Amino acid sequence: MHVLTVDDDPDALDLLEHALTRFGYHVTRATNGQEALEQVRTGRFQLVVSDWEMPHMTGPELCREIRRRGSSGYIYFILLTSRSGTQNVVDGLNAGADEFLTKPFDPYELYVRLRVAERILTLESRDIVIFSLAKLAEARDPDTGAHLERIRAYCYALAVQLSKTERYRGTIDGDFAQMIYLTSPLHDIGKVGIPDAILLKPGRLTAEEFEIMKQHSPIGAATLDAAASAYPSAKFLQMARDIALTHHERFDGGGYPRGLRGEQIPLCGRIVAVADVYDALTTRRVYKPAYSHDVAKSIIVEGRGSHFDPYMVDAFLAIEDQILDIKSQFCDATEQEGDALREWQDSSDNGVGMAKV
Amino acid sequence: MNDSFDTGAPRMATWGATGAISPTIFDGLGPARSSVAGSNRPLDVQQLLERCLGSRQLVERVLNSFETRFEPEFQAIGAELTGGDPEAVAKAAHRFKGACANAAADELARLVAELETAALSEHLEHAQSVYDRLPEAWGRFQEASAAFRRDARN
Repeated sequence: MHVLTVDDDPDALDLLEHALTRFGYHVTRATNGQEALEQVRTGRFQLVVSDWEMPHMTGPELCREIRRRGSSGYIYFILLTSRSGTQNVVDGLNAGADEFLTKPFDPYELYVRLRVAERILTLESRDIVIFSLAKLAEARDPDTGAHLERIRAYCYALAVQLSKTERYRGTIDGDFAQMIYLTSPLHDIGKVGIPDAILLKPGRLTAEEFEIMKQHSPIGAATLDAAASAYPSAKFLQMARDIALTHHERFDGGGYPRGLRGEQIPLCGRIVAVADVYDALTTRRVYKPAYSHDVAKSIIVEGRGSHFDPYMVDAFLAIEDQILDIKSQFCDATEQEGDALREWQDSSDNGVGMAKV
Repeated sequence: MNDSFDTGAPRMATWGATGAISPTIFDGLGPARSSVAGSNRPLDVQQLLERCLGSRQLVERVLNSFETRFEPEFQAIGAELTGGDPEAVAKAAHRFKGACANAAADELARLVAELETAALSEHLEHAQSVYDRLPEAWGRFQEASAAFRRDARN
């Protein structure tokens, strides 16, 4: 990773450069704010370590200018300062700095803070990439508009509600809720592997076509599983895989691709199942209008214990107002929606002979 | 509301890979100190070595550079004291304080910090008295620096 170091003191730059190079970073030096801004404009830097006191432009002023100009990606800004006191910290944070290091710096502390910076930058990139991937998959699908935004918001709200229940208090925490918010948009990523003729077919699928369509679950799961194996510490990939694989499973074992039943289906898959079906029901399709919330709710309730985990349905009912708020917040009534409903209907009827609603 | 976590808008994710610190980087330097500054030694060689990650060559380069800086920085502070502008004195002192800290010239850094504080409080008389003590501290630094170089050669 490239680091831009900014200091008007050449000795300080030498010391920084030596340490950073030893830590494996590529270092570029700037001796004042203007020079630093020119370097930042090259787009090579995501990490800036700057002195506070410099002639013409101070570190906080440089930071403020970088934030004002914006850039292609987030720039993590570390201020080096011999200043202490709350007001200085507040001034630095107000300028947009992410971190402070006391001068003269301790290399151990510098190293640790740089690792933190890298993790944060990586996470930001990861979140963007995940959502972009999901959007890419969605682009091949007639599902449009804010489908992914609604799905993740429904899932998050359901997870939060479940975390308040006796049954799931010990299972679902803030991280789980955040993780399902992040990963649920990937539920249909496997659709990139489904031929257009089937994916985009406006009418009902034949039994053969539906068998192919069902492959989107294992295709998505296999893709995410490969990533999860390569990065075993990235827990979100495991959840994303579970969701992709199991969000069409039914609580009574009648779903696909494996016919899992009850708690054999991962919790995240059971949550997404409710959110996905509700969204399919309440948005317009080429072959149907959007159902009202009440109709969709009655279908969800009807599926309690058969299609859906009863606890998920109870959580859905408990946050009905929130569900309506999300639906209204991410409304795209004029856009055509995809075939999640058709899949739901087909899976309910083994994919054959299901009339359009 | 949930009592276990914030139920507001989801944040950008905060879990993920953690990086282990390479054990080789700090080999031979001992545990990192909570603060690399703070002694009152004319020259804290150990601290400087830590900051240079054990490179004696870099330590020497930093010391050489610092030794060329004392005189002009000292003169600059003196000129500002003569000018009588506390803010200008403080600014010159702050700049030199950073240079002293970089070179692990702790005694000088502490004195210059005192000088800066006096100037910021507009106590220029006290600032002048601290200033007058700098040459002696500088002498002690030079002795320590020379001793380090002798040791390095042996």
